[in-house]
Amino acid sequence: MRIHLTVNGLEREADVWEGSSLLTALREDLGLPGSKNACEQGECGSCSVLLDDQLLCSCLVLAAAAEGHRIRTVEDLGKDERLHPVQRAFVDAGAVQCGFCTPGFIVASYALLRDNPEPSEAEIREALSGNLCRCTGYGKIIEAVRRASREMYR
Amino acid sequence: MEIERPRSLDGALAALAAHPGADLLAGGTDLMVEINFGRKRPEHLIVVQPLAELRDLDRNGAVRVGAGVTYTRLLAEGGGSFAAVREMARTVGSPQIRNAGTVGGNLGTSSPAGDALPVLAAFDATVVLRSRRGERRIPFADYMTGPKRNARAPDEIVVAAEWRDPGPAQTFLKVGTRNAMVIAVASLCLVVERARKSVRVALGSCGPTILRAGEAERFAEELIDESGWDEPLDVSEAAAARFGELVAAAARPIDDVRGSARYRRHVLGVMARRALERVGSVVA
Amino acid sequence: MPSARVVKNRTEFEGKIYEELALVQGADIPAWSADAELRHVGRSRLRVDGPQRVSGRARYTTDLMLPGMLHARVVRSPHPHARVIRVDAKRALALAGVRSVVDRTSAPELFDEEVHYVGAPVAVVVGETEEIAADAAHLVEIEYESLPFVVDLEEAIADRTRVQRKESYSRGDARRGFREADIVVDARYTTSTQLHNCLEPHGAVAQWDGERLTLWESTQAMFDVRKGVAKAIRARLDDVRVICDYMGGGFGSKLGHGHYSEIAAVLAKRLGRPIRCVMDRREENLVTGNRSATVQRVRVGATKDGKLTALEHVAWSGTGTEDGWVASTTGPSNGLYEVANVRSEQFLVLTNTGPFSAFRAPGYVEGTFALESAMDELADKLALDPLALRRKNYAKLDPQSGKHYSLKRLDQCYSRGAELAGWSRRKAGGTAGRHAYLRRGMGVSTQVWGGGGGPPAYATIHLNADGTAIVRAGLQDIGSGTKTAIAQIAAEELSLPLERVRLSIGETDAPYGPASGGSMTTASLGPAVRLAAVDVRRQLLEVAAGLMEVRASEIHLTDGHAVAGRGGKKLALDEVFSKLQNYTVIGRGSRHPNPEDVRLRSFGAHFAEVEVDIRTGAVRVLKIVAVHQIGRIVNPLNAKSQVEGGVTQALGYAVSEGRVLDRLSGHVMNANLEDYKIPTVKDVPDIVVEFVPDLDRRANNLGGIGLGEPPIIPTAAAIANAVANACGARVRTLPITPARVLEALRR
Repeated sequence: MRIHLTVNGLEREADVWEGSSLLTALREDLGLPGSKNACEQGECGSCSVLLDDQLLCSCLVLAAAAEGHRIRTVEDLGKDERLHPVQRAFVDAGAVQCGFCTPGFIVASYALLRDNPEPSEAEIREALSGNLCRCTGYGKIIEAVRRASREMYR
Repeated sequence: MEIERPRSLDGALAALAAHPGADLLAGGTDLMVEINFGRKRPEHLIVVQPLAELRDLDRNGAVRVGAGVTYTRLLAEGGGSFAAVREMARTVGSPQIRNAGTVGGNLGTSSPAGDALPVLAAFDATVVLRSRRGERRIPFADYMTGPKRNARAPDEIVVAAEWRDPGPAQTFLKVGTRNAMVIAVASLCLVVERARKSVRVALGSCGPTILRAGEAERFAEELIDESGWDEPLDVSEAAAARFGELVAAAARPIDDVRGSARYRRHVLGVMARRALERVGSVVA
Repeated sequence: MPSARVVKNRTEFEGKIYEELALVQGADIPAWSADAELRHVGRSRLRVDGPQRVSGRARYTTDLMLPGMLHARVVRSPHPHARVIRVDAKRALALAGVRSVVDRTSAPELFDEEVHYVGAPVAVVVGETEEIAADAAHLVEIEYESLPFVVDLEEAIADRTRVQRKESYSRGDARRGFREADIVVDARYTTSTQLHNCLEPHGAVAQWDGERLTLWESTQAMFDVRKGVAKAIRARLDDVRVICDYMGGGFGSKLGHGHYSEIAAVLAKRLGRPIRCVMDRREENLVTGNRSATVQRVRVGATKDGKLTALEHVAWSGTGTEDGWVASTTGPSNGLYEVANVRSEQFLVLTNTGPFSAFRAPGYVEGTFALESAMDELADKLALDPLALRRKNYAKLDPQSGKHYSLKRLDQCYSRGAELAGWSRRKAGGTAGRHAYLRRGMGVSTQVWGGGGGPPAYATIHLNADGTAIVRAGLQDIGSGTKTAIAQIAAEELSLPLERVRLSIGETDAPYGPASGGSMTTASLGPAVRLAAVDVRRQLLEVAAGLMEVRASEIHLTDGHAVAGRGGKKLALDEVFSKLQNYTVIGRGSRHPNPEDVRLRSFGAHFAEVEVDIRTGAVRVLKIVAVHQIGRIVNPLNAKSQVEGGVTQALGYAVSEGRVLDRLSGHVMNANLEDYKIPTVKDVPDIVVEFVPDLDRRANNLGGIGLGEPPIIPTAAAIANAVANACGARVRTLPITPARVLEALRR
């Protein structure tokens, strides 16, 4: 079926299978592979996107049901070569290893800091508890969120 | 696969009347997984998630929670007579899952591990169903009939859950195998409704459906009868242990990938004691 | 050009020692001294490819969408052991968008007649999209003849036909040693199967251009993939080009080529279109490898004052259907402590489950859990402080070879760790928590591992006319940050800013580079890169000397200048570069052999503090202290991150992870991330990481060895020991679930 999506501020069209998730549509039909596919059941958070500003796993969103909503992906956070402060903080804190989970963490951290400029450690942990990382051990990720908070709201 | 995206509840009911048994897509946390894993290829799928009529949340007098209310919204509610609801919502999945998952979704799927269900059971909630034929109101105990089985007719949509405010003496406890994104190994909701001299305990993930621990409820009621319904309850070691035993005895658990029947029974007893100690002291 | 020669070398890889011949050029140089003023090496530098990874621009194999690409899905056996009688693809082929279905009859090179585990491949469906291929896979009808099977490790151990003795080791006389003992601990430990669950699934994309195959693969070892695939499809090495630009975790499971690589290569050729064959999460948990479950028996004998007299360790490792090798579970017992009498045996046990593979410190993780738990049980019996017992049996020389270590600072790891953990607060019998039902305790455990690396590894460096450098090496960066470390090493020796050093890596049309595994990537490749840079510098000095009209031996490089003698002539390198114009300086470097007279090993100590709820059995890990010794650290920031990550995987192994099998059907019950519990950010405690600041001068010209695996080795035992200290529950089975804690409390 043909669907019309508003992704990263652009009106896009895609021919998708009716049962396609938003994640599949983004990755395979719209050329936006920044959102990663790692579990397809909402457990790992690698596919996190914002849908009408709400943090969701795009693998659990039916692509067809995303029509009429504003979708933002990791690709939209840093424009061109300039990184968003959250992205910069992940690099600076050494919060990235293989990087496969990173786009999901970036989107989740962005959503957290948008709503809560100075989160406590417990709030950071709660906000990122839907994102699995198999490499870093999370400590540097928490540090990155703190850094980004300072950078964005100092 | 045919996708219907009705703009109103009436539209959804009409679509469902035309295709009874069609799959309903709410937050997607269950159904999308089935589709992603290739375990389900619905012929007709009706997207009910955006319907405004399902999103009401009313706490004036009787409580009404629309089927489309997400766990994130429940978490944002104040405590008091929503304490157990909030405690439950906090244990659901992760922020992403709480932003998507709905009470109606839990009711629709009717898994014994559905986090909201022990709360609805302990609150003596009523499930409100609607179809083109009209509205039906079913007590939760009659709604859920088995694992992933319920009394919803193929042309009905769960529109809300309703309950009478039971007061603030309530708590929800859950044991899982890690601290986030965890399905309950066992869960328990305890309500002491002092105004009506009623204690209710409901157990999740401990049987084919949500179970009520009737004997434990009566035992606790007798305890409070003695200490007085307007007074805080000082639970003795022996009474707490007895209450735990009675709750554990009410479970009908199985061994599965998340835990053994033996452990489930044991930990229900521990949770029951802690819940009674916590809730017994709460007097409005 | 220095001439090449063949040298003998001993390399320790994944707990085993390999003797190999290697080709090297020129001579090696000594490691930078401790007081050398280094500008890059030893400093925390940000990942050179960080911006790509955080912006979503990094392209992983699974992200590749080539024009005209088809998708392959594998049809897998639902039976743990069966003969495939017939495959009927009629219904699958009838589905729109299905391009091909192959099975044993049409592609005998890809499938066996008998399947030996649930998930074994039986057929492949190729479709225009992933969904079409997946749906069609359900439509392939397969007739099986069921055969007898065993999936349970204990059951398989009882069946002698499934057990093979693989390794044995002894020194001294264990029997005599036990006779001399005043106290003997004899305990049986079991560990569960740990699944890697790399976030990027295994997979490959194949595209043919005439006779040449390009294979994009998520791999830790591009050259092994090239060799394996070339052999499988009977191609020459130069006909296969493997590309691995970014990859999302491997942890040992991506060391060789996969069945998916062969599927993609073979079918892409047949169908004349690119093929993508990427595993889904279920397949990740069924067929792409795992850490063996083990059953282990450890006997330790000691005198009253705690001197070990004998140690015996027998291990049975369930390798699934893998019958080639077994991980070195008894390695730690053979080599950690000074004990005169040791006997160990290692058995491989075949079960009808997915084949095991290397998993971050294979064997040592399992074996250290058993050995270091037994050491604490011994300390308990002797009423000795566990740390004192370990110090009492400290090996100054390598107990296996009798050689000196190139560096051993385990004693410092113990003392510093004890300080950071507050070990003096530890009390026999644990301490009280906030409630009567909460108990707190502390535990310690020791790590030993190889990771010295070795040849072969080669690199070339091209210096451009504008003073930028390109390092070319057959390296894949699996996320550990090797790429950044390599750039730092080159920049150091070339006296260049880091941003002037570019890496050309991630493909096999390059000098051979080692696998990213065995904690040996940086230790193998780094020294070669340094020598290549030295070679560039030598040539550059010759050019500068010519321009300055002095002898090359009289000038040196400093601060971007060639300087002659003391306070003599100075020439800016930029000027040298501009005069070179289109000339390219090419430096070559190779990894030289390891020293023969010393043993290269890394050491570390972990300390855990836990709180146990003795009513529910729940264990909360409050803090882990990890102190490691590997010699020079090239990049402290990334090194710390490596340790935190290793500890976190170990935490999962210790308390929540484990494959669950149904004995009756042979099915894996938790082949997904919902039921296979890897730690979340809410499960991970405060992790304190430190390194003992010292050089491993003899190891190689960097002065340091590898760190990838050490941090996952000792944690589980430290946690188990802490639980036992807290509440007296000695849990000898991993993971330490609440039910097992309660069971141990009842004993």
